[in-house]
Amino acid sequence: MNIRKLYTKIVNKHGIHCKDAAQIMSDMTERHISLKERVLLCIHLSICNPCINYKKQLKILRNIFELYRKDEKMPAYSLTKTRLSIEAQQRIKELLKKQSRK
Amino acid sequence: MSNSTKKRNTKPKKPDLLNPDEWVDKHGDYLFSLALSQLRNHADAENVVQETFLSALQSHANFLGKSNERTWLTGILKYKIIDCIRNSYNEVPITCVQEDAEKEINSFFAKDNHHKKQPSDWPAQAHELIENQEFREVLRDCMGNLTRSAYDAFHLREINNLKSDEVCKILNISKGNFWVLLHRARLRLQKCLEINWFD
Repeated sequence: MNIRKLYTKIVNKHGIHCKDAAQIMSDMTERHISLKERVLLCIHLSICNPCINYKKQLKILRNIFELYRKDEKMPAYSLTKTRLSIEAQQRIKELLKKQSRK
Repeated sequence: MSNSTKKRNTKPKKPDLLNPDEWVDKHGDYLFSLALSQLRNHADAENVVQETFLSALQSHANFLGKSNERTWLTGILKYKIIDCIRNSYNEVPITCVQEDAEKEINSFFAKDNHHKKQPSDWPAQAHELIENQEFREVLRDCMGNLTRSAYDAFHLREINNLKSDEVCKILNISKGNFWVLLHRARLRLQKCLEINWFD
């Protein structure tokens, strides 16, 4: 058995798995991650390509929403331009008229 | 809009801004679309738009034309949307977060706690993706698949860009539960994008 295989086997047996790694990676932007968690995550990432991909995906997703926030012409991710119903328009106009007379 | 020609230090005349009919015609649809995209409920969205206009009417004296009318109204709307979300979770608190989430999170992982479907390497950058109309539609549909609490947690955090603490107060949940909700939303969203866009 070569060293790489042995290392992977040891990490798989004693380290964290993808499920815990995914939670820690999601939590990274939300809370302080302990040194222990950091080390465990690092070791796991050293043997797990799918989790490295997941980490990249998280970053892409975060960047996407950051771009959305900055673009005022594209409010949130709202694409479907919806119309306020005629009834609601009338109702609000009436209310505003009443209110502004006060 | 016309008050851009006015001198800055003169008080804006009320009649210029008090044109409710025009407000509704000019900004009603825009504010409603924005509210609906976050609240996902027609009645609630109509309500917050109405509240926004009424508040705007009361506080128009504070509006000194520093920003444009729409930006000013949008600012008020954002507070009203958050109030609406806060009230709904105060009335009906989120329960069973841990149990529900555990079930769902487990569905993404095999028995040995590895990914069931391995996340792939997305061959794109964020800015390339959001320029693509079709991608935006897929993203919107994937967001639409989130449960209400996961959607609200994710939206408030990532789109409204509020801090964890603030979101917990609005959703009336503990930090632990919030992190789980968020994690669940991200897992679901990423899987959905993977299947519908990157595969």
